[in-house]
Amino acid sequence: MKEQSPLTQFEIKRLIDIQLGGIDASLTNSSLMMIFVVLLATMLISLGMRKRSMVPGRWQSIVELAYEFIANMLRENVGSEGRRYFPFIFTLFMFILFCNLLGLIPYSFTVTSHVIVTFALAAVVFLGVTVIALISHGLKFFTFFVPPGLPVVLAPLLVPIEVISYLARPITLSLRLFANMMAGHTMLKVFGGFVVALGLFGFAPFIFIIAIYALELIVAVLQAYVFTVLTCLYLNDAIHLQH
Amino acid sequence: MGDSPEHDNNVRNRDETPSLEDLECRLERARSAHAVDPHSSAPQSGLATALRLGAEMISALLVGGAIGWFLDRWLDTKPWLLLVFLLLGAIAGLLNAYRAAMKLSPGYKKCPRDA
Repeated sequence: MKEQSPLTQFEIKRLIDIQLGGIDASLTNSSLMMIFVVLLATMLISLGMRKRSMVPGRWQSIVELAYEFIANMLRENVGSEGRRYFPFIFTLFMFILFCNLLGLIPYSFTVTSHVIVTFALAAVVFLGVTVIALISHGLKFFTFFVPPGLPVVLAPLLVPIEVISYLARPITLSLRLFANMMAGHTMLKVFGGFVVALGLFGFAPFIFIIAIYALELIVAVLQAYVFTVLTCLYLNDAIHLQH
Repeated sequence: MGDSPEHDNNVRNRDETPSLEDLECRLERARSAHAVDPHSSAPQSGLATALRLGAEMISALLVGGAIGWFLDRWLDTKPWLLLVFLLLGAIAGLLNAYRAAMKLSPGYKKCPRDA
């Protein structure tokens, strides 16, 4: 048997070579997984809502639960102004949730365990939120970086700190999701290695794996939730211009 | 109840000028502390909180370091701006972690009469 490192699961494999004007746009296991995620999420929602019955069936209940969950989150954290951003927030949540959950299926690939994927998501959120703030507040947006009641003497010190703390948002957002997913999956693989290595006594780590797997299911949902909630909070900052 | 008038007196003595705004704020805080609100009372494990706050601190530090490094390369002032911005990043990280921690704890809302 070939020796496998717990990190081989994160390897990107090229499936179909596609070169677009010097840009490597190959279909990889990562992008294939993302396509699966999008297809599955779309299928769940469109097929689940096909009947549109007054008394929802199982699938319709799932979709309605997800809808209400995000709608409530948006209402609580942003208020009624946040309503028009619902499609984006909902899509974001479903995408991350499905990426996290499908990544837990053995032999699949966890897209969100790559920092570049989570950073791309966070960067979109960050840029979008900043643009929304700039559009709705114009130049007043920059007062966001000046804490109220700030003495002029301290401004040169505190304004850069506020700017850095603002710029750190996408990094925090992406780092947290990525670190959680990668740590969890590495841990699963490490303990999986113990099961094989210990032979007959492998049942002990095997039981432990089941526990970790349950924990990872929670983490997968929780991290999708945290990412979305923070997006809502940032959106709230942008619309209401306050910390 | 026998002790209720006494209790009323206590309240009155403490809050001599009760403002409606303050009352509303306190009511809301009390309500939100009791409500089954997923994000204020989410059963966050210690590890999850530590990861969250750690990410806050590290990311600001990274951003500060990156800004300093690029400014240094651009202005040819190695290594001074890097040092300055690393320090600023560390402070920003602490600030972010503080803000996040305040949001994590229930009843973080500040009321006008809070000391």
